[in-house]
Amino acid sequence: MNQAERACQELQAMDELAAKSSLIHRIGAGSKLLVTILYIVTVVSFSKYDIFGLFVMVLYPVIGYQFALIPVRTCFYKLRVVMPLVCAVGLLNPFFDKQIILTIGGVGVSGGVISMLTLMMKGVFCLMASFLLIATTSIESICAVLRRIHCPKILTSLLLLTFRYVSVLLEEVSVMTQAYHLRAPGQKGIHISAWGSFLGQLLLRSMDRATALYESMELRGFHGEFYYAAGEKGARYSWLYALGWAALFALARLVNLPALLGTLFA
Amino acid sequence: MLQFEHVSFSYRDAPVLQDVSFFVDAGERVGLIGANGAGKSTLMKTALGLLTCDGTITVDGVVVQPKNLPTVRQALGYVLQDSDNQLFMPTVLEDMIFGPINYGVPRAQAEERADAVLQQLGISHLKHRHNHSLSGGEKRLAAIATILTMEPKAMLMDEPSTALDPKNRRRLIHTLNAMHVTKLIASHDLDLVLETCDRVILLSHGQVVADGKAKEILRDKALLEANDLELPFCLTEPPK
Amino acid sequence: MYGIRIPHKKEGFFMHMADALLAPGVAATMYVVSAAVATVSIVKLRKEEKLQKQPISKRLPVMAVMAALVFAGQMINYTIPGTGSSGHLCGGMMLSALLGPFAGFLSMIVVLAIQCLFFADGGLMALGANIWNMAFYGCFVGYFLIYRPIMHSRLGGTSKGGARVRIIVSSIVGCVLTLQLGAFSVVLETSLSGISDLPFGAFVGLMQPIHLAIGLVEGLITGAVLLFVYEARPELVREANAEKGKYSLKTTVVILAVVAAIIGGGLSLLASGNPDGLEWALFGNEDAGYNANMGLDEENYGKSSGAADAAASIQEKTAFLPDYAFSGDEENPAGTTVSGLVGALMVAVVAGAVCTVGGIYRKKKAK
Repeated sequence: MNQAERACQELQAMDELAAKSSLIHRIGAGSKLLVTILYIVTVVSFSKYDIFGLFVMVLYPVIGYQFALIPVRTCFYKLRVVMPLVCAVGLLNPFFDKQIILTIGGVGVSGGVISMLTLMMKGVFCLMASFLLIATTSIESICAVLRRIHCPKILTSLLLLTFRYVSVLLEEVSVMTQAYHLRAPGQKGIHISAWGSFLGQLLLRSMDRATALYESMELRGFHGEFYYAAGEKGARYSWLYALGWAALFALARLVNLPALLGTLFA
Repeated sequence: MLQFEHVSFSYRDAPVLQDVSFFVDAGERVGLIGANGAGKSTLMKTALGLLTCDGTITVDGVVVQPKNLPTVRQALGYVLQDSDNQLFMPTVLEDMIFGPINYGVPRAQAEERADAVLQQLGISHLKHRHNHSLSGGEKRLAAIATILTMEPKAMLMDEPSTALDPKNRRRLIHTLNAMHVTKLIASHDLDLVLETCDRVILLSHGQVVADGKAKEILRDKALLEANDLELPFCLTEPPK
Repeated sequence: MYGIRIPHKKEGFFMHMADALLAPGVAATMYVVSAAVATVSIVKLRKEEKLQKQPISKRLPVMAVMAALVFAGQMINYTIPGTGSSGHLCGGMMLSALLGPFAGFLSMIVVLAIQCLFFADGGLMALGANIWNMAFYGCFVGYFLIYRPIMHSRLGGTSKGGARVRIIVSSIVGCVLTLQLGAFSVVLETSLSGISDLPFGAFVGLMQPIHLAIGLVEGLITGAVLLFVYEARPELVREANAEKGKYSLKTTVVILAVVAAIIGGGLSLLASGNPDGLEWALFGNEDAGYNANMGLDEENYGKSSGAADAAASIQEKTAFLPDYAFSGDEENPAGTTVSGLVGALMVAVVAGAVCTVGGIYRKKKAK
């Protein structure tokens, strides 16, 4: 399977998830976007040594995935993209920061190791939260929210139109790649002699497509204005949901909950 | 309904259409046939005002020229060869109401129209589907639906049966036969033309070579072969 | 060099900032600057619209399809001859050569937004930074500083062959420079966020050479594609048949030299604050007191440069919840360790229970 094909399937999988119906799916896109941003900001703002405090934050995605009826493992495949840079940066921390700040059972743990772990946790948590958002919210509703906060129309229209054609072009690239490899066995990628023509051919064809596309818009009376649906209205409990999580995030950020729990029971 | 008078068009000095004249009456079902490059798509584009040509084209009594384009385009629905180019909105419903809203139809009314069309085509289940998730056959029907929602007086279709499997092709033929608007169908699929059209116009090198009853022209083996076409499958005699 | 193989399979691997690498303050700043550039682009497009009497909406389909093309084009593996690895396309330079810098920038924003939303390349919070690092440099610096001056120059002669030379040269120089700037920004943003303990100089030393190679390959790909398009439909490549001598190549060279001098000078200043940062860091950084400030790099390095000092103070002011050195842990680490561990364990148990209950519930529902 080539990369383009895999991307197509990923998009399809996302579509299937977003088409489900659950408590989380029914919440307004605005509330979900807000909660996601608050979550990410909170997670990222934890100190790099506050590993226990940060750990509480795992509860939001875990609970969210369960209510959204989304298997947690589906998002881990996506980690491969962002994690390399995060890991590359994180893995070096133990070399530079060797001061022992924790001792567990007599074994000292250096600040670098802790900060490496928190960094990786942050990476995973943020990704899980973004995935939860997009797996339960359609891109149209997100664009509708963006328009409500006065994001320029040209950007949201462009986003929706591009998203529509991403799958079309991915399919073309996928088929072209297959056709190439069928006639070039044993080659891992596109040979240098075809660098220009491979994408160039598709580019020319896409230019023609853009012309046809514009014609088809013009024929249906298009004069510069898209009327996208306003997006579905969220359930009544949407803002309550946002408020509730916001309060919990604030609590988790300001109070070291695990430490508190620990002192209560230990 | 649709009148071509001495229409000529050249692309970079190469003549594509040469002195084409014909008249299509309201309610007629006309097939436009011809080999690749005979000028079928160009002919349709000139009628829609996408290409400017010499000669006069009249649509429903209105001459095709820049200031009349909105009226002309409202009267003519054009179904593109590649449905992906036709379906540019996120969902089927939004695509269907795109045209009517642009022509000033209130949203609620446009949605009613869309519902009726979806029912007529038997694809109500596609209403809220994303365009990118449709199969090839569904895309073609959705594309036709987006045009029908505009309630055109005549429909122009460019190769409507390309890339359809036999079942979807059969369904398309039924759909076309059930639509009671004036139709101009450009196609190589002569069997489809035979089943959906009463009249056929044969184009060759930009000129009208024959214009007459579908059953007569499509049976004329010599005429078809002289213009790089072949008899429709269903009319070829089984090999002895 | 640390026994880590640097994966350069996917171009942009190291360019896509993740949320985790940014402090909220830095991320917000990057959002603001990127939004400002986007606003300028929209305003400029509107002006062009009035000038050419051609509505933006007419350009929307081309912008969308080209953005989708860049997105899909990034999924193509280009084998680099003589090596086992492959190069990839980033797209900023290509888009601005085809659509112009302003439309190209908006298209790139959309590409990055879709990547971040649906494919987890980068994060929601890091989007602003990613737009700056990849779209801004590629579209604006690449176009105005490299592409346009070179295309208007007499480089390669005035024949058709000359245009080919100009396309290739501007693509390569443009991609290399914009990727260098992008990589440098990644380092700068990460360091300002106080995420990495890696000294600034060492980080730069790690990132810049990798992106030199990536930029070179991307430049070649971009050049090859543009050349192909130019041969088939020359009118699609902007400025390809431009009037010669309108912009002087000398100006570009001078500007580039000044930029290089500033960056080089800045880097050497930073480096001189810590001669041979890497070795120093690896062997005996504790003696140097590096750890005393818990890794806020710019505090340590900033001593030798006023700019870094200023940046550090900006960072302090803009940080969303500015308490990086969590005092509780630092002063009495052992005290919180036990209770912290117990608490974390309990959180893990709760999370596990939620998952199990959810799983059972779903299975029941499925039946």
